[in-house]
Amino acid sequence: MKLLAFLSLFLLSCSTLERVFVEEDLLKRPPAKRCSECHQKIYREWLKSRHHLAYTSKDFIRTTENYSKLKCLSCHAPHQVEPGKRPALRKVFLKDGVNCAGCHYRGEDLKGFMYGPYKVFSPPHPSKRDKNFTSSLYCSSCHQRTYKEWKEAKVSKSCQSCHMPYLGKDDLIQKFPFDLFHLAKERHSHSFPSLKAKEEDLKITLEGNRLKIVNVGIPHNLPTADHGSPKYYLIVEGKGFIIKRLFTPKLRVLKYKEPLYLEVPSTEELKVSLYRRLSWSKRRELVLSKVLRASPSSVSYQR
Amino acid sequence: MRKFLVLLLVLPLFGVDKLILKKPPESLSKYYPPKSKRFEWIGNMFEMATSITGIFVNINEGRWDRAKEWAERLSKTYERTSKMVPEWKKFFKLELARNVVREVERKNVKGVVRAVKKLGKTCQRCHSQNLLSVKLLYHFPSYENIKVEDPVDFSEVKFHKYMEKLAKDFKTIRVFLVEREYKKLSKKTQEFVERFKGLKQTCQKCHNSDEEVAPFVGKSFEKALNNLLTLVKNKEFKKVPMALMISASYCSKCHNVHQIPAIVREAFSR
Ligand code: HEC
Ligand code: HEC
Ligand code: HEC
Ligand code: HEC
Ligand code: HEC
Ligand code: HEC
Ligand code: HEC
Ligand code: HEC
Repeated sequence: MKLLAFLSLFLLSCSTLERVFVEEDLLKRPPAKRCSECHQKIYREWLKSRHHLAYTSKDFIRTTENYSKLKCLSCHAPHQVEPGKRPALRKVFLKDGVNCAGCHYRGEDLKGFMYGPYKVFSPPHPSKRDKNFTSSLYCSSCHQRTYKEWKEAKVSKSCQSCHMPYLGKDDLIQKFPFDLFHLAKERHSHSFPSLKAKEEDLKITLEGNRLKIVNVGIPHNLPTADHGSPKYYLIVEGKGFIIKRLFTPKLRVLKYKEPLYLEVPSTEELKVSLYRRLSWSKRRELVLSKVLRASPSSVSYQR
Repeated sequence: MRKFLVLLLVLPLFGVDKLILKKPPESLSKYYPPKSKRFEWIGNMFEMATSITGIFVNINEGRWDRAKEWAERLSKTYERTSKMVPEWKKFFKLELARNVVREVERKNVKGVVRAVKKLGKTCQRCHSQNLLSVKLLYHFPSYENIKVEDPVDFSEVKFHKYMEKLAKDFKTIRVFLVEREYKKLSKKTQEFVERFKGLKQTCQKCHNSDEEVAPFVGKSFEKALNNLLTLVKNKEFKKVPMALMISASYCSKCHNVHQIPAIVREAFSR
C-alpha cells in the first residue's frame, strides 16, 4: 500500500521529481563501478569487455612507454564520445579505460546529459536519446580504420549488430525501487565480444594452381585494427611443400568480398589451415582447417 | 637601436664549439611523461625566452614599466627553474637575473643589453651540455618495447632483432647473386620482401595515420619491392643489383629519420 502511494506520487510529478532525484555525482563522470549500483548486469558485461581494459592492458602500457606517448591516450580513456569525432582524453579515473560515462555522458559536469539509444525516464541522471547509438558512426570515433573498411563494404549491418549482440528484453537497472517503474527494454551485450570468423565466412577454393580465399561474411578486413596488432596465419600444406603467409592489418588482409590468390605447386591434395591471434592475446586459435582436392567440386571438410 | 636589440633574441645554441651528450640527471624525469604530463621544464624555458622578448619589445616602444614586469618574470622563473634539478644548480647565476631587473629599473638600454647577454651565457652553457641529450631522451620514443611478428617463420621478435634479420637477408641475397645461386636467391628474395613489407606492422605503434608514414612505406615502396620480386621471378638477374639498391634506399630513408635518436636513447637506457 505504501509502495503504491509512493509510486503514484512518482508518476504524477515527473518533472519536479526529476530534479529532486538527481544524484549529482552521476553527472560528473564517475567510474563505471558507480553506475553498477543500478545497472548491475550491464556493468558485469562490461567487466568482461576489452573496453574495460583499454587503459591498463599490458600491451598498451608497453607500447605507450608507460603512458608517455600522450597522443595515444585519448581513445583509451575518453572524456566523451561524439559520434564521428575523435575523443579527448579524460581527466579523471583513467584506469577505468573506455567506461560508461566516457561513452554515454556528454556536456559540462552537472549540466550535461546521459545519452543512449532510448527515450527514458531516468531521475538519477537526466537522459537524452541519440539515434547514433545504434549506428556504426558511433564506433567510428575510435575504430576509425575499421569503420572506413566497413563503409567500403557497403552493408547495412552495424558494428553493434554483431559486436553488441541482442540479449532479448530485460530491465536496464537492477535497483529497488527504481526497477519497479521501468519496463523491460531491448538489451545489447556490453561485453563487446571480439567474435571469431565462422567456416561460412570464408570461402576457400582451389582453381588450378591458385588457391582462392574470399572473406564473404565479415564486412571489414580480416584482421582489422587501428593500433592493435591482430594476426591471421595461413598454412598451406601439400606433398613436399608448405607455404606460410602472415596476415596483419598492414601487411596483408582479407578484404570483404575481395578474393586473395596464392599460387601453389600443382598437387592432388592440399591442407589449408587458418589461425588467428587477437591483439591482446598470446593464444593462436584455429579458425578453420580444410582439405581441398584438385577439382574444386570435391571439397571435403575436416575440422 | 631596434636592430641591435632584435639581434639579441637569437636563441642560445649558436657558436658553441663543443656539444656534449651526457645522460641527464634522474631528477629531471619528474617533469616529463610518464611522471608528469605538463612538461614543466620546457614550459619554464619558453617562459624565460618569452620574457626576454617581452623586455626588448617594450623597451623598443618606450614602455619601461612593462619591460620591468617582464624582467621580474624572467628573474622569478629563472630562480624557480634553478631549484628544479639539484644536479644543475651550478648552471644558474641568480645574481645575473636580478641584475637584468636592476638595469631595466635604471632605464639603461646598454646596461640591459649587457645584463641579458651575461645571463644568456648561463643559458648557453647549460644548453651546450644538456639540450641535445634531453631532446633525444624525452622527445623521441624508444624501439625497445616494439615487437614484430616475423612473416616468414611466424615468430615474434624484438624490433632490434628484426633489423638484424633484414640485414642478414639483404647480405645473403648479395652473396647468392655473386655465386649465381639463383634458386636460393629466389627463395631468399621472397623472404626478404615479405619481411620488409612486414615492418609496416610497427609504424602505427608511434604514428597515427597512413599519410604520416607514406613517404617511406607507401606506393613507391611497394612498387620497388614488387619490381625486385618480378625481376627475380623472370630471371632477369642482371637487373637485380640495381633493384636491390633501390629497395635498400627505403632502409636508409627510414634510418635517417629514426635511427640517431634510437641509438642515443638506447645508450642512455643501459
Ligand atoms: C572511446 C573509444 C571507443 C569507442 C567509442 C568504441 N571503442 Fe571499441 N575499443 C576501443 C579500444 C581502445 C579498444 C582496445 C581495448 C584493448 O584491448 O586494450 C577497443 C576494443 C574493442 C573490441 C575488441 C577488439 C579485440 O581486439 O578483441 C571490440 C569488438 C570493440 N572495441 C567494438 C566496439 C564497438 C562495436 C563500438 C561501437 C558501439 C566501439 N567498440 C566503440 C575504443 C573504443
Ligand atoms: C540510481 C540509479 C542509477 C544509477 C546509479 C545510474 N543510472 Fe542510468 N539509468 C537509471 C534509470 C532509472 C534509467 C532508466 C531505465 C529505464 O527506463 O528502463 C537509466 C537509464 C540509463 C541509460 C539509457 C539512456 C537512454 O537514453 O537510452 C543510460 C545510457 C544510462 N542509464 C547510463 C548510466 C551511466 C553511464 C551511469 C553511471 C555514470 C548510470 N547510468 C548510473 C538509473 C541509474
Ligand atoms: C564503447 C562505448 C560504450 C560503453 C563503454 C558502454 N556503453 Fe552502454 N551503450 C553503448 C551503445 C553503442 C549502446 C546502444 C546499443 C544498441 O542499441 O545497439 C549502449 C546501450 C546502453 C543502454 C541501453 C540498453 C542496451 O543494452 O542497449 C544502457 C542502459 C547502457 N548502454 C548503459 C551502460 C553502462 C551502465 C555502461 C557501463 C557499465 C555502459 N553502457 C558502457 C555504448 C557503450
Ligand atoms: C557481420 C558481423 C560484423 C559486423 C557488422 C562487424 N564485425 Fe567486427 N568482427 C566480426 C567477426 C566475426 C570478427 C572476428 C574475426 C576473426 O578474428 O576471426 C570481428 C572482429 C572485429 C575486431 C577484432 C579484430 C580482428 O581482426 O579480429 C574488431 C576491433 C572489430 N571487429 C570491430 C568492428 C567494428 C568497429 C565494426 C563496425 C564498423 C564491425 N566490427 C562490424 C563481425 C562483424
Ligand atoms: C583514434 C583512437 C585511437 C588512438 C589515438 C590510439 N588508439 Fe590504440 N586502439 C584503438 C582501438 C579502437 C583499438 C581496438 C582495435 C584495434 O586493435 O585497433 C586499439 C587497440 C590498441 C592496442 C591493442 C589492444 C591491447 O590493449 O593490447 C594497443 C596496444 C594500442 N591500441 C596502442 C596504441 C598506441 C601505442 C597508440 C598511439 C600511437 C594508440 N593506441 C592510439 C584506438 C586508438
Ligand atoms: C640548467 C640547464 C638549463 C639552463 C640554465 C637553461 N636551459 Fe633552456 N633548456 C634546457 C634543456 C635541457 C632544454 C631542452 C628541453 C626539452 O627540449 O624538453 C632547454 C630548452 C630551451 C628552449 C627550447 C629550445 C628548443 O629549440 O626547443 C628555450 C627557448 C630555452 N631553453 C631557453 C632558455 C633560456 C632563455 C635560458 C636562460 C635564461 C635557459 N633556457 C636556461 C636547459 C637549460
Ligand atoms: C618508436 C616510434 C616510431 C616508430 C615505430 C616509427 N616511427 Fe616514424 N617517426 C617517429 C618520430 C618520433 C618521428 C619524428 C616526427 C614525429 O614526432 O612525428 C618520426 C618521423 C617519421 C617520418 C617523417 C615525417 C614526419 O611525420 O615527420 C616518416 C615518413 C616516418 N616516421 C615513417 C615511419 C614508418 C614508415 C615507420 C614504420 C616502418 C615508422 N615511421 C615507425 C617515431 C617512430
Ligand atoms: C622504421 C624505419 C626503418 C626501416 C624501414 C628500416 N630500419 Fe633498420 N633500424 C631502424 C631503427 C629505428 C633502428 C635502431 C633500433 C635500435 O637501436 O633500437 C634500426 C637499426 C638497424 C640496424 C642495427 C641493428 C642493431 O644492432 O641495432 C640494422 C643492421 C638495420 N637497422 C638494418 C635495416 C635494413 C637492412 C633495412 C631495410 C631492408 C632497415 N633496417 C629498414 C629503423 C628502420
